[in-house]
Amino acid sequence: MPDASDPARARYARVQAAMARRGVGALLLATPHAAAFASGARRVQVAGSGGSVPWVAVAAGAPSALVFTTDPDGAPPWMPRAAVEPLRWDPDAQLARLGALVAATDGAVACDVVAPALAALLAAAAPGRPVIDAAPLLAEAAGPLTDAEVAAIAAALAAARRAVAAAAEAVRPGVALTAVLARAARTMSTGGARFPLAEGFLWRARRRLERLAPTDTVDAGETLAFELGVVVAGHAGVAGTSVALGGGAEAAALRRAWADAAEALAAHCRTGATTADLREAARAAGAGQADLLAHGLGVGVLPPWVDLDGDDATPLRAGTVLVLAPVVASGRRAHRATRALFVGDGAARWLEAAP
Amino acid sequence: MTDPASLRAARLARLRAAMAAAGEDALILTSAGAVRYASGAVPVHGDSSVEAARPFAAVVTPRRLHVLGVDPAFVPSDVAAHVLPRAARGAVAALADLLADARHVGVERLPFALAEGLARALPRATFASADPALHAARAVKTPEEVARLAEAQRLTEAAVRAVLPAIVPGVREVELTGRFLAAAAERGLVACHVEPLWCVLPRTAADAPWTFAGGLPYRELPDTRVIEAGDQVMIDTGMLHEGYLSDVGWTWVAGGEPRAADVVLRARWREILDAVLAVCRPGRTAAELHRAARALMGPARPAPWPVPLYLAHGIGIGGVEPPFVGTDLGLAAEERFVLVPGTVLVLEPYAWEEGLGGYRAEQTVVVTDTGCELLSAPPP
Repeated sequence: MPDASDPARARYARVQAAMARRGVGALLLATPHAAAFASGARRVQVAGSGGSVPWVAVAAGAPSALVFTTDPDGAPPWMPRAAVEPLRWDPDAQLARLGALVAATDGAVACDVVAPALAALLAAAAPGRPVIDAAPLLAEAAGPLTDAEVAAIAAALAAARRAVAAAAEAVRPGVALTAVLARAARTMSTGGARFPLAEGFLWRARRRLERLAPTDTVDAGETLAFELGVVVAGHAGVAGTSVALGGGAEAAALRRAWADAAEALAAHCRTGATTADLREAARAAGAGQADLLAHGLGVGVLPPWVDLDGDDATPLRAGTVLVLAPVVASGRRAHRATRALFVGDGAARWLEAAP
Repeated sequence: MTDPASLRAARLARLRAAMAAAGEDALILTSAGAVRYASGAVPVHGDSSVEAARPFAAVVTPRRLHVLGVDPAFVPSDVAAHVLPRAARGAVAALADLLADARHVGVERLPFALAEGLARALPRATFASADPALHAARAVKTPEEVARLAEAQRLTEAAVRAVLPAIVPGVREVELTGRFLAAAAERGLVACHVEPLWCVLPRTAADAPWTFAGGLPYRELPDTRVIEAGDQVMIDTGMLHEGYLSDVGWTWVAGGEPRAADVVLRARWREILDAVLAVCRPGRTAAELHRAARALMGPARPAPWPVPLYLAHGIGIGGVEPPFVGTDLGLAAEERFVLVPGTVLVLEPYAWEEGLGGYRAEQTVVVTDTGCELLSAPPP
């Protein structure tokens, strides 16, 4: 049995189990958060989705992933040193090494990305073997989260929420949003954050949310909605809120309407419900979205991506974390915030206080 | 918010010329840097999971340019902006519609389902890597790009400089990140591209974490370690400013008072840097930079950079771009890369000696018509 107190080891065990259920002999991952999810290996974090050459390979039944890295000391302590190799900057050399690994396995090969050179390599290294999308496998392995994983996500959520609270205090009419973001940054390290998940998302919350640039300002009488994210100990936390610069009773009513909408969504966050149920609940509550209505959370912003413009009916899984991000509007003003919950077999459990 | 027309036009012209040379009649671009390079649009800047949740792309043909998945307010008004559905089926339809007549398509990384769907939707098209065209276009920076790189560098250096007084005994490495990001935001830099590093370098091999064979003892993953008086703190980070990346690397002695060992190491670093700068001019090759650094160390000593990192890398709209000097790509590849005016490199030698510790700093240079010019300030 894997050590449930070690989030990375628990994740790796779930990846192996998902590979076994799907008949996958080799899993190749190039996307940084997916590679970190499966391997537990830490590298210097860089924004962006990375290249097209996998840097983590998982063979069915192997005691750990094989990692190609610039940071060998970022490998988890249970990973054998033989499973940590220097990153090859020569893509042909890296692909050749991966080809040898794939050839030594049986069954399907799962990849998160495809590029022409990788496709050609797999055709040569695994002739006749199915090459499949790794995304469903990774989604399956996303849960159920262990208590240690939920605690790690909760710590990241708390760090993000502290940063957002500090930033909210800096919001004034005419203040440059860079100053608001600076206030948030000052607090993020106190929660152990080493890297912001993204640049802050900023909106002028009128009837329709308008994305703002950090050099913009908001005026008296307007509402600023914003969301910040951090990475703490390999887990992501996000927190969003709205700050009304005036608005009095209308703004207060919107805050209550947002809380009602969030509760309405939460009531559907249980095993057996689907993303379609969440969309329906949002529409019934009169809620909209900016980008997404809700999303999963773990080593990053994860599926399911609940999009009001989508038409999927992805089941919600017990043992996962969802971040709800409805938007409510009235008159010329809107309110957007986020609140995270844990989806269980019964009713969902909030992981943070109401914003 | 979007890039100015003159900058966009110069880049797009370079990219289309490179496409033609590569025999491609369309590109599908999916990295934030490439989308911005081609179009001037500003995608969301974040980690890979944020990009996966809010996908974006650009389609470039000889006559048309489309951006998908970016808020229209962040797309230049003369560029066609489209929705990019999250579901693969919808995304395939949107891209295939824009690629209808293309036969030779250069692609960056594509999520599996999207790549598979495109291959089915465009059975007469052949797909190849977009990298040759992208690398060729981006290898030479226009004067406007160089000016932006210099400004990104200047602002980031000012932010790092503001943190130096906080590098004192008792502070934890990770605590410095928040101070730096706040200082950066106060200067208008809010998109952190590379995790800010504040790492105490090992003074002896025994102090070092595990490193790969053949490499100098080194450390670059910050943690909760408490900094002690006299620690050599290696700093390295990069911020995005108006689409261009900075790369600031310095070594700072905790408390600000260098000791004799620190002075020796810095002098050695300077010697290596000067040797490299002496050959950093048009017509010389990346291999010559490599040899200049190695010649100072002698054949028996490890290369003066951490393994598997590099002596130098390119920088621009991406933080780490070709050419690479000192990697497993090898001298043969470096011989083929000839420096020309507009080549921008980050030189980052590392001096380390058992018992003395380490000194690493980075200097960004642009190759000019007659030599090279530093875009970085000297390390403090």
